[in-house]
Amino acid sequence: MMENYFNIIPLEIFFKIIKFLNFESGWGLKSFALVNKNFYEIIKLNTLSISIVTQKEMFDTKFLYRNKEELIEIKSLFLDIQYIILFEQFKTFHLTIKKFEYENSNERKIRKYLILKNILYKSKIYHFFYNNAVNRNDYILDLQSNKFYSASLFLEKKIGKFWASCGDDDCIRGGNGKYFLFNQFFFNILMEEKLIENSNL
Amino acid sequence: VKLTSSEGTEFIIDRKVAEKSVLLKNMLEDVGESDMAIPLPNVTGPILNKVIDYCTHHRDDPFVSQEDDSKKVSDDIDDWDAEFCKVDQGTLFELILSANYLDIKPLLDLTCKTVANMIKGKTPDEIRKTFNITNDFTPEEEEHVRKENEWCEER
Repeated sequence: MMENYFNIIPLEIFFKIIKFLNFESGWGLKSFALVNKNFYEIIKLNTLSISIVTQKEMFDTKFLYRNKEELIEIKSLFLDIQYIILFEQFKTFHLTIKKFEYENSNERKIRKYLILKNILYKSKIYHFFYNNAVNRNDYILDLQSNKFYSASLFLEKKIGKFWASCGDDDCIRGGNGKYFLFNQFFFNILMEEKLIENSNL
Repeated sequence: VKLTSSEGTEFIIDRKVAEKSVLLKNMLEDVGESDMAIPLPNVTGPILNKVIDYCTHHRDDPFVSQEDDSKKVSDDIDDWDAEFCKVDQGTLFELILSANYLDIKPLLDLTCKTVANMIKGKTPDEIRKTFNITNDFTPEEEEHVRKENEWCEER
């Protein structure tokens, strides 16, 4: 009977093969992980789960207490998040979902989903999606150009298919776009301060 | 350069071919000129023979650094390499282990890509059949795992 040769290869080879599988979706990896418990545990245990919630809160705070001198800091924070996502969260290209409660500017508790995508390693720039669950009319920041796009226009065209629902709530599914999506509140602040321009797509 | 496989079979190859292996390159640099055979206890004769075929064919290829991970696609295999990898699974995995041991990155990449291509597009069950992997999930456990990330299933 043929041997299961996956038992004889070192872990780093296992992950090298996974890398070449180049999964286009979290489900691809999940499907692969379902082959047996060993695969599942290896993939799961080697996925670093950092506190992206903390990052998000830090990000929000930066915006709420911003001033123009902090522009560089904001950009720096974007990069921080980028590196965390690319080199920590996605070290093993596993999809991670974070669901958390959060007080928004209206002091209304809303549920948010932060879903990070396993394919981010493909790009040199980062992809990070963040939105509240109630408003799809948010904006996207292209980190390369620092331009914002209307999600309602752009998302539907380019990454619309990554939208999905989770039970009764909306959530964002990661895609292979190069955008940072967040809510209109921050977008307006940046527009007012002329820190960004609208591409009028 | 003389190499000895795990069974004691001796192979004589050009230094340039041997130096496709970072392990051998370093050893040769350390030892200098010598008639002594280099023992490779982790590589069998038939596998070493294949590895030598590969290194001979690619002897003039530019050196690929360990850090060069830019090509993370599995469909960029040329015809010769694809033909080279048409072997049984045992040989393919032995080649992976040997490429890893001898530190021949292009061969390691090639063999890992070949395995990745055998996995691509397959369901977990098809992957199990291809690689003779036993499904040790109970139906309940499998259902539980599926439920965990049910939302991300393609619709």
